[in-house]
This record gives sequence, C-alpha cells and structure tokens, in this order.
Amino acid sequence: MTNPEFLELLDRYKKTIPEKLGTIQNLINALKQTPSEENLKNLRAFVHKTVGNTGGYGYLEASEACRQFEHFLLDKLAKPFDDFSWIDQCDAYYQNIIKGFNEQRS
Amino acid sequence: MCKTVETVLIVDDDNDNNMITSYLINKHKIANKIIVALDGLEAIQFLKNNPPPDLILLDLNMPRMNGWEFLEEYKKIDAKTKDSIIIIMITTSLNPDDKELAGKYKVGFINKPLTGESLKGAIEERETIKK
Repeated sequence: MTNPEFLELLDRYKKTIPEKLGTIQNLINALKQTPSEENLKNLRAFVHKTVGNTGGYGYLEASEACRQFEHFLLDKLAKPFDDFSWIDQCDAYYQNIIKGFNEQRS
Repeated sequence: MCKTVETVLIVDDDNDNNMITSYLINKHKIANKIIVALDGLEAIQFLKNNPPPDLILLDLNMPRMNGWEFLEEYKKIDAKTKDSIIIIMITTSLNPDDKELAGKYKVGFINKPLTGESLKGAIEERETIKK
C-alpha cells in the first residue's frame, strides 16, 4: 500500500495522532477525576474507535496496544463499579499506545 | 472474483475509517459510487429515500443507532428494496458471539483492519449464499 493516494491519506492520518493521544489522555484524566461508569464508557468508546483506525492505517503495534487497553476497560465495565484502585493502570496502557505509534515510525 | 457493483453505502461514524475504506473500494474497483452515513439512523434514512445500494459496509459501534439496532430497523424495510443488498459488518469487536449473531442476521462479518482481499472475500461469500 505505497501508492501516492495512500501516502496522502497516511500523511493526513499521521497529523491526527497527537490529537488522538491527547484525547485518550484527557479521557483518562477525566476518569481519574470522576470515576464514573459514564467516563469509563467514554474512554472505552474512543479506545475502541482507535483500535480500528490505527489498524487500517498500518499502525499494527498501536492497534494491538489499544486492543489490550480496550479489553482491560471492558473487564472493568463488566464488574461492579465500586473499586477504583485499577484506574492508575490506565497510564501504563496509554504509554504502550504511544510506544506502539513510535515503533511504527522507526 | 467479485464484480464491480454500482453503489456502496459505508455506515461508520469514524471518518478516518471511512477514508481508508473508500480508498480500498476504489483501489480494488469494488464499487463505482460511494455513499457514507455516519450512523445507523442516517443509513436507514438514506435507504428510505434513495435507490437501494448494492452493498452496505456496516460498523458495529456507533452513536445514536449502532450496527445491531440498524439491522433491527432494516428488517422493517420492504423486501423488494432489500432483495439485492449485501451487508457486510466490519468491526473490531472483541466478542466472539458477534460473528455468530451476524450469521443469524444473514450478514457477512469482517474484523478490522480491512484489506481489499478480506472485503472481496466477504462479498463473494455473501453473493454465493444469496444465489
């Protein structure tokens, strides 16, 4: 997939990566500030979306990191929402997503 | 090999996905005309007011009306309109039951990331089943 049209799409997509990472960070911060089911669902929905589009543009490591994060969040959604000790673990998943994007660049 | 269809309706709220899906459709000559609906509700409204597309590529997770809700609403559309439409569900679902459920709705199922080959394969499979 290296034709000019795809490269143009890829270039456009690359420019959106900082915004996507910023959105994930903001959603994690919102969850930390207010640990609610709604905030958890918002974070999960955006991470889910990012699983799909990262993979479509060939960022397979980032897509896999997002998939693992989504799996983690779905597991938390399936349980009673009364223990928030896991929320700080979101930072490690977030760092893995950044690492996934960086590895693809190198 | 699947033939080029006239119109495809992409139903997905993610513009990044819609652009790459459109690119693959054009590259692999899957359809001559591409229409995008940003959720199930927009897709239903399109189907009620326009000639039917040949192919619908349906995302699962969408605001307002998701893929499953779309399929429920789609049941209400008259059989003649639906007769020639092939629906392929394209998701990043982690739930293995979703593929089985897609089968019950008689729609194809592909996991993202989408490739030209996976898309053509799913269309051919649905064409064969419909015959």
